[in-house]
Amino acid sequence: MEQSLSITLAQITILIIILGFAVVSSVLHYHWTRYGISEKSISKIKKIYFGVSSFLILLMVMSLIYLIL
Amino acid sequence: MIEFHKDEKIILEQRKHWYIIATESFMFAIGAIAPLILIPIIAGYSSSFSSYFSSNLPLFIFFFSAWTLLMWVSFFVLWTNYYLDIIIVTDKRVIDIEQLGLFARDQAEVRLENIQDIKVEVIGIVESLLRLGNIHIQSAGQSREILAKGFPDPHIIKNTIVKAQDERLRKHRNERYAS
Repeated sequence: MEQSLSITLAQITILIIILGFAVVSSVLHYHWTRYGISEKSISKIKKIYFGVSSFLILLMVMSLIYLIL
Repeated sequence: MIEFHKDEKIILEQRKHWYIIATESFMFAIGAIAPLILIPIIAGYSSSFSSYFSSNLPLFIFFFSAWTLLMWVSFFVLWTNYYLDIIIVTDKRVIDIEQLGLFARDQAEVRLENIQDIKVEVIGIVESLLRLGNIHIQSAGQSREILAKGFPDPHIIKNTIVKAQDERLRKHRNERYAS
């Protein structure tokens, strides 16, 4: 019971986080491209931002899969 | 996006001092590593928590990743706000842009010939050592003054503005005499 509650909570959390991440990332992307940050800097920032974020999301998904299985 | 006039020349572009972002992001760094410090401490005191932690490690990894992602995204929001704050001095005007949040942006500008007074403020030990301060620009015919906070070498920025203003006024005078 406790385990299934944790899994449900984790599933809801991941949905909220991915949705929030998508919204905030698109707003950030808009600011980076709209307000005159150089192309070279933007590509570097994007690589760092999306690289680390993808790693963290992957870690979350893997933990969730492990929990479900 | 700032639109410059065709014949406008940028003299100085200055972002805020790195100290501003360093102090603000320090809190996020502490927040991100806090679970790594707190969990072993709590586990050391409570044996039931310790056994729960070791049997539910994937769940802890999940919530730790979620927490770190939250801190990471918040840091980038903060960095974007920092990076988009800029003061630009051209041969015609001074533009101060302040990003107040993701959906709030304040852009103030004053023409060089309208500047009446410039005041520089460096308050505090750290600020004095790192040479960061505020610049107040008072303009004629405008009740509001421009306040640019937390810029490095504010005296250099002030001197640049004064020099650009002198040049602008000299140019105006010469044009008037010529006509």
